[in-house]
Amino acid sequence: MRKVILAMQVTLDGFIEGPRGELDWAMKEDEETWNDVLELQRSADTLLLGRVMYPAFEKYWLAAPANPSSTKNEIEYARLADNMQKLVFSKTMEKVEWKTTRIIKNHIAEEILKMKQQPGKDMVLLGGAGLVSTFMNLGLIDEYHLIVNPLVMGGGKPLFKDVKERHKLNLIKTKTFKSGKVVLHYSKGPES
Amino acid sequence: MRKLFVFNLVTLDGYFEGPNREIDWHTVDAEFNGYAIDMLNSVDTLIFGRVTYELMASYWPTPDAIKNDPIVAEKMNTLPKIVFSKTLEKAEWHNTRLVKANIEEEIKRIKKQSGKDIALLGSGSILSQFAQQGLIDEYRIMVNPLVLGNGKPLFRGIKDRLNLKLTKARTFGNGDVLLYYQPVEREK
Repeated sequence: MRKVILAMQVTLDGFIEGPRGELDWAMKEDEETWNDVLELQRSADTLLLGRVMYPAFEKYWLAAPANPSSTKNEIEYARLADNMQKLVFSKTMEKVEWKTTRIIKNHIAEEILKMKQQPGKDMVLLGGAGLVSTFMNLGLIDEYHLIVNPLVMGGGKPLFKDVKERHKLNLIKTKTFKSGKVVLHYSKGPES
Repeated sequence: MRKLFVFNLVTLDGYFEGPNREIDWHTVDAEFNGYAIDMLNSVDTLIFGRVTYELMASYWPTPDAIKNDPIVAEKMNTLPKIVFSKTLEKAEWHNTRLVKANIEEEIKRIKKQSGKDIALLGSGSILSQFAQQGLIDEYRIMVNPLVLGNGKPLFRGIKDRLNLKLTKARTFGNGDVLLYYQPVEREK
């Protein structure tokens, strides 16, 4: 069965953005991180995105192939993303630019459970925090692929903010990068 | 100069305890105890804030603790300890010294003395205070395999970004991951 894999970068204190939206710590060019991100991207055929982050995500990655400042990794990411099915979860969004994106307005659990039964590769949940807690509270996340960055932010937007109950996890593997980033990869535990 | 390190267990969402002080998610198995014993053998001073001190002082001297974890209990009970608190009246746990004021000076003074390393076993305000004063030489953060959903964040008192350098990572059989960091010098 296809899995839903949460894939995000966090600080050691669990934030996905600083208090003023700072992401500089996550975006530093780092070949090992890119390899990890692209490897996960290739193992999947679907991206799951929240409504808050979607517009900027779409704008950036649709423009990336023609943007002269794009790196080769960014161009590869954009190429992969373009070919993947993307789902954006929003009750109010009316249309998107990206032809391969579908808007999901309701019945998130039914939709995801149906897709898990269909043949295909895994589905990667890229955030944001609101969609992550929705998915966790519905029990839809099968694996967690978190890149823990070597800093304490001291404030900002937490990754896990409205999670209603305890979720036990099983550690599958860890990877450490020269940049000091650590990949922690978990699967859903038996009781959650 | 000897090193002051902090050791803490956190959940994947960054809490050191649940909203009602739950720490039932700690897994104390043979591998964890082996690590705890090695760590205690590497230090000659333990430092606590009041809250952690009260928790530890009410547990380690008990017959249960001595029966369940004899080696760790013996170490915890005999090692020299310092508790920093403005409100505690006295500290009766064996070999404990109560320090009420001038914490920063006291830490700087004992770091200059010869001896083994110093462990800070505290999670509350003392950790943030020490971190912001630049007193901590190493962070040992043991990430436990669960999301708790709510609780007290380990780093809640830290307001400014603290850049770290990963020096080591160790994976335990129970799924805990122990991450070792050193603070990166701030530009003056």
